[in-house]
Amino acid sequence: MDVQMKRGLLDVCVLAAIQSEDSYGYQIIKDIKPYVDVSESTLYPILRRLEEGRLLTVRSVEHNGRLRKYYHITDAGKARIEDFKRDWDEMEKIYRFITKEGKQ
Amino acid sequence: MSRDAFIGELRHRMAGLPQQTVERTVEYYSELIADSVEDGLTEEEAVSRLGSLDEIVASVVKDTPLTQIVETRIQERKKKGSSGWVIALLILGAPVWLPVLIAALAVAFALFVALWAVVIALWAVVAAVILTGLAALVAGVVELCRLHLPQGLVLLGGGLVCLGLCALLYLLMKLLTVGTVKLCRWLWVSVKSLFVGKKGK
Repeated sequence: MDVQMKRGLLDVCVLAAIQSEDSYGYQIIKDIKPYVDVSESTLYPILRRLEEGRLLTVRSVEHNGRLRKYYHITDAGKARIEDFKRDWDEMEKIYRFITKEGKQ
Repeated sequence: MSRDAFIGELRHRMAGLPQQTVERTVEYYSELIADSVEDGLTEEEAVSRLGSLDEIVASVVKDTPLTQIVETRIQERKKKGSSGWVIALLILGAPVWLPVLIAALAVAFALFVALWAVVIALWAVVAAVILTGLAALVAGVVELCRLHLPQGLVLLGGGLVCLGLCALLYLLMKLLTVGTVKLCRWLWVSVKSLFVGKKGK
């Protein structure tokens, strides 16, 4: 898949993984992996980028005597997911056009 | 590799990056290892799943601006406390090293410009061939109208060859341009990597 496209998709995937409840690095990777090929080292810059863009916030929670970082989606993050869904409707229309042309 | 060995090596290779970046990266990877172990993996398995250290460090360097890296290096020097001699030598030696530094930067810049000049020149060649092709086609039609049959056919044929050639050249040039962009990006990351990581090991 195109690098730029995959990058955008991964951002939304990570946001979706923390949409219903706050989550942490290991869990996010586990949740996304069945759908997209994501590695530990690719998730890191994504989380940093999303945090810098204020699409999510980070807080440390004590867990088994150590700190674990939980990621929480912001309103801007939720808006990003909605934007993606809207874009997707448009993409689907284009996709139908492309495949229809192909059949003829 | 054990968790401690991995984190130690990671720290070692990130030397020269801002302290905050190093801590954040170490926290992220130690949390992942701890969570993997809690999930039933052994420490070695957890570490091996993280991928190569080269990749990890390269992606961190890519996301850190060069100015921040240089700033950290300078602050480290300050902390070590440069002796008066070093400072005196730096000032006295300025007439020597400053021109050399400026020259080196100028050469690097000139090479960068030259690289892109070649790419632009080659694109100009493609444009010239397209124009030649179009001009030959027009001239060919004109010649045919003037009933100069052989000249007209030669011009038309030549024009078509030029345009066909262009299609091929265009594909080649696209590859070359994308390649040059990638090369420049790679060089940039390499330059940044020069400042990161402890020497000797």
